[in-house]
Amino acid sequence: MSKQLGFLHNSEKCVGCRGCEMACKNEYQSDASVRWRQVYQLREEDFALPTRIFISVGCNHCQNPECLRVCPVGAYSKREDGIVIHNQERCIGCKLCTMACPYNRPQYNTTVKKVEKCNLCYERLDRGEKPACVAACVPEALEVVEINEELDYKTGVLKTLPGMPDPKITNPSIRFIGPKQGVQIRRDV
Amino acid sequence: MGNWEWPLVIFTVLGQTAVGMIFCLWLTERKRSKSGAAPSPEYQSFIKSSVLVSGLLLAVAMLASLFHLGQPLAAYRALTHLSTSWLSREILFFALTLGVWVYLFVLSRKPGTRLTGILALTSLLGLLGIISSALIYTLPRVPAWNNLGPVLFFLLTGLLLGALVIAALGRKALGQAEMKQTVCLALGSVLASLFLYLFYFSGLKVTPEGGATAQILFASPLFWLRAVVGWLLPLILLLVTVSKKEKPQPGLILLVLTCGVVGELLGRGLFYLSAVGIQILGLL
Amino acid sequence: MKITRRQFIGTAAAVTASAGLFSFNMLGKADKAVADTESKVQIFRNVCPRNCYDTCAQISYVEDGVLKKVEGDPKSTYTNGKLFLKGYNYTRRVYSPDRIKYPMKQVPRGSGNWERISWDEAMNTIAEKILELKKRYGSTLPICMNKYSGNFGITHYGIEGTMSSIGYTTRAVGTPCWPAGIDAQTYDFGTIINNDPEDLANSNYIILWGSNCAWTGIHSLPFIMKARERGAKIVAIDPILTSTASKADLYIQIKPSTDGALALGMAKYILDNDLVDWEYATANSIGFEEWVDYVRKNITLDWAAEKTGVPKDVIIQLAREYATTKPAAIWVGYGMQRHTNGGQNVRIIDALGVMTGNVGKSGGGVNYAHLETWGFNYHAMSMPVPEGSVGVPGPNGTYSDRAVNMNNFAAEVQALTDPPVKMLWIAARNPVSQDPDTNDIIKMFNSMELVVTVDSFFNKTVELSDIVLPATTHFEDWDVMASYWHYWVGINQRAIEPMYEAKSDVEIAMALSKAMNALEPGSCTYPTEGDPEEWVAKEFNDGIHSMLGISSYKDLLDGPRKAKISPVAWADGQFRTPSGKIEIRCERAAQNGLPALPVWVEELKTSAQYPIRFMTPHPQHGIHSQFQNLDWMMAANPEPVVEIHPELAAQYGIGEGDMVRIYNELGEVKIKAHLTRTTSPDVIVSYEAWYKDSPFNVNYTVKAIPADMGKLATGMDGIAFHDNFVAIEKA
Repeated sequence: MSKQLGFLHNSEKCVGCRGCEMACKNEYQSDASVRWRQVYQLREEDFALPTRIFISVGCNHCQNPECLRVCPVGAYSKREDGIVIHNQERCIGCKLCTMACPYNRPQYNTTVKKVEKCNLCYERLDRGEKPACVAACVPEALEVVEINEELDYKTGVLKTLPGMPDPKITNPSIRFIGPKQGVQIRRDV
Repeated sequence: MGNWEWPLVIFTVLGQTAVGMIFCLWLTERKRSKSGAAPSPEYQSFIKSSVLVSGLLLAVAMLASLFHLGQPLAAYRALTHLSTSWLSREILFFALTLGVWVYLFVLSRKPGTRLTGILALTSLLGLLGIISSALIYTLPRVPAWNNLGPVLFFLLTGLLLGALVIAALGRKALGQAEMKQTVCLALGSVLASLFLYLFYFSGLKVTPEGGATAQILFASPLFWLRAVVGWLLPLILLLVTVSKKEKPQPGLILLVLTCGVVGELLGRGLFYLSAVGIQILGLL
Repeated sequence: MKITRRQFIGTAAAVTASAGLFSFNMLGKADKAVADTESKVQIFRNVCPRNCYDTCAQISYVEDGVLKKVEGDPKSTYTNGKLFLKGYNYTRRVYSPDRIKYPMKQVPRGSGNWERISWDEAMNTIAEKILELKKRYGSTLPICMNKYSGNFGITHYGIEGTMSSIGYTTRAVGTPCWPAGIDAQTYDFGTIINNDPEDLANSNYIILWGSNCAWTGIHSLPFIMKARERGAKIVAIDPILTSTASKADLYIQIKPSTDGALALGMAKYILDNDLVDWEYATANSIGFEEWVDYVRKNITLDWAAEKTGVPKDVIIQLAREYATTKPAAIWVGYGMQRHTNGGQNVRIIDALGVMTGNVGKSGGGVNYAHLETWGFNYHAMSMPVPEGSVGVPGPNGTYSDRAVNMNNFAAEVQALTDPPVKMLWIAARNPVSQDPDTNDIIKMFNSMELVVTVDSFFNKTVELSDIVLPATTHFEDWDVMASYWHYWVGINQRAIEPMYEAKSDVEIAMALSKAMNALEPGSCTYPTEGDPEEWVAKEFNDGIHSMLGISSYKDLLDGPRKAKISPVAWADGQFRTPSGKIEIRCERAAQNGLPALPVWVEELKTSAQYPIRFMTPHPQHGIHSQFQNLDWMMAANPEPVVEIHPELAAQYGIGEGDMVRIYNELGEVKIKAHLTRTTSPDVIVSYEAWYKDSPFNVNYTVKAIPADMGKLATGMDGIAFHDNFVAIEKA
């Protein structure tokens, strides 16, 4: 692999609006039974103050993708740029990848009876466009980045956030800028 | 995970039973070939029906597994990722097992043929199939499965039910010693299974997902049913059988077999149902 | 949340030529439907016609007559090429299998026994009923229309036009959601005008006061963030710690309905510490000294702290920062004024803006809304009544429509006797889902002889209708749309042919006219023919052309245009009050029985029996009863929750995920609990919406309590939606 593309999600900017989720659906007109990109609200108790904090997760195009390992038909492949692509034509709908992924990203499409997942809009990238989710994010909280040491050494760039599965399992290509909590004057203190 | 997965329950339990049966047949045949005694007509009939039943179980199992797939007609593609996929390897081994079983079946119809070798080969391929099956589920994503548990559970299912079916089919044909050996295998499997589970549960608490699995099981009335019907009853009945000198009554064997089958089916369903995967902890 | 121009200016009066109507010439220009040469994908321009700050300019992609996807138009600097979660769901609305395809009849009403009928049969039935009622009662007053914000496209004022064209009718007048604030700013400044939201980027201090723009107006957020990047401080004041408030540098959880007290506390501090912009205030306002005197004599910081639940030192900090950081902007959200003292609270905040000289400044302002870009002809609406029509008698033998309060709809309709209301025409509205006191609304519906609803889905109002007429979506319609927040105006092209047998409201009007005139010639004045694109063309006038810098509506096919008006409201100091100045002391208010000055008015308090406030703000996944029912939305947000503080939940033994029964003397609703510290222990929150196949409706406990203002500009006072007091128990 010459490089590893991935997502940088900024919880400081993200308001959890789900624009990215729906932009992805709009781009691919995907079935209601799957959510290739999913916005999660992190648990209040995992942070110092109660606020609404969100992350947005598409496929993490892991460096050790479990989906690729377990798939019996070899439907998954990893490109030179690190994108993990699922070839739906080969898929037989055994759903083992849906069991193997800690992030629940490959999902079973009940209409087509095959699995699907985010493919980092590789066709758009190859045309020089941004992925649909990144292009649609109004607060500009989502970016496609190259995951490398340089990025990881930047201040504020985190490999994980509270509530995320241990990145050591699959080495996901997602990085975070953690949420910043302002001053709160609340009535319950 | 999270559902009963009936196709997979049937595939694994029946398939493992089939392999277990062939393994028990191999043990029996091996002993007999050493002693050199000529097989009785009942024994020959027993061999033929056991081989047939094992093949039927294997075929039904593999057919059932197709119902799990979204695209059953494309199942043949499952053989194409042997490099890393245990599922591919499982299909390969079971396919080979079935293939070799055909030869076994042909030989079994020829009275007087020594089946030890072919039974050994079939058992070995089946064993590799069972181990592959179990390794499919040994996923880092599912802490409750990410250990030797699945391998041991699956092997024990095969041994327990295989031995019981053989005992049931051979209730007339098998000799007292052979019956005893077979029943002992069953008893040993139940004991091993029980102790394995106790040991397994204590280890589950180490991870939150494992702990959640334990909670689901303990809170489920079906789990307690499985414990009674699948461990307790067979344990008692088998101990009673082994303690007696005479050959066990056929009715008793069938009862233990029924309990065992129900127990294993329930247990396998609970295995799938109770698994809790690591996930992003948040509101969806 | 929209008001018709008619309602805005006054009840029952003809549309007067007021500020906003200009005269220009129309010139034609060639059409520009761009075709992608690679595939057969056609691109059209649309504008989302929903009741939403953002009113996104859209680009729709159509291949072989099928809408493939919708994107934001990059030509609008506000939309900036991006939609929002709702806009991206549009294909699911257009092609939803649940969509009403044909006119349908339900016998008996409410049974669910729907039967397809032809347009002819539908229009005939309706026409016959109208004429029968006219004969029986001597006028068309027994027919009542309720229309509001389901579709704010200008040609959808054809719904009002439908009614005018058959005679004098009963009309639901007013607007449920924002009139208190409108009146407040009308009393103070003469009308509502806000700074261009893109101007927020120039601010150095932004107070989001009761605004959850992360959910309701997200396209303003990048401008707010730009300000922050420049060092601006963002403050959020809200009883609920919303997604927006979660991003603020300072979040202040205020006791609901006490915003005026906070503003007065700030004013006191500003006064005592000599931070007043006397020059601006005295030059531009009247009554400022009188108000300052009131503040000096009556307001203390201790009082403000006690009233609002905000600590004194925080009020001081806020006051000092707001008064000394220049420029400072306030965004007054509409939720803030949905209280019995909502209008008054907005007046106080207006005064705060005046006293600090932040009004009329770039990066400043007390920003609420505007209607500057809505000066269309309303041709679709302006239909004469048929000759000989009789209505409510007025002076000099004239007649008028009968007004009924939209905000007390059930009670007022049932109270009418001379003549009673016997037929309802509902379009762009869903009262059974959205109105307060659902039980009374249902009772009122059940007393009707004929209920006709125009809609796209079998929602709760349609379920209680006799006839439903299938509505087109805006992709199937020609229209023009403006925004009440940003300054862009865009054309909405017909991107795809109307689905099934759907018709637009203007087409329905024309069909009705045909049917009525066939039965009784001259009974309806609505044209019976007309090209949809021409209807849009007829809405344009010279005023609009000049404001947008176009010579014809066709120029908009190239892209939306931003109004050529000052991005800074009131920069010219030309206030539209009777005195021409900001009326801190407002005679008109006094004449209408309100305080003349922005003084504190006590908030409505909970009772011992119903001690908990149940707030029902706007949801994330829908706009009122639209969007949430679509399949992608239901997958992302399958069920409603009520947000409840763990302390409150513990008192009632309610755990996470338990069902909670929320009730008062009006009715009840059962919702699943989500424990969170983002609300306070005396306030529970659930977001109003219509979930597919769900009985969920928060309005069962909401009383039609009027807000303090709204009559002046919109005809009726608003609704104090958030003064909803309940008791709870574990269900």
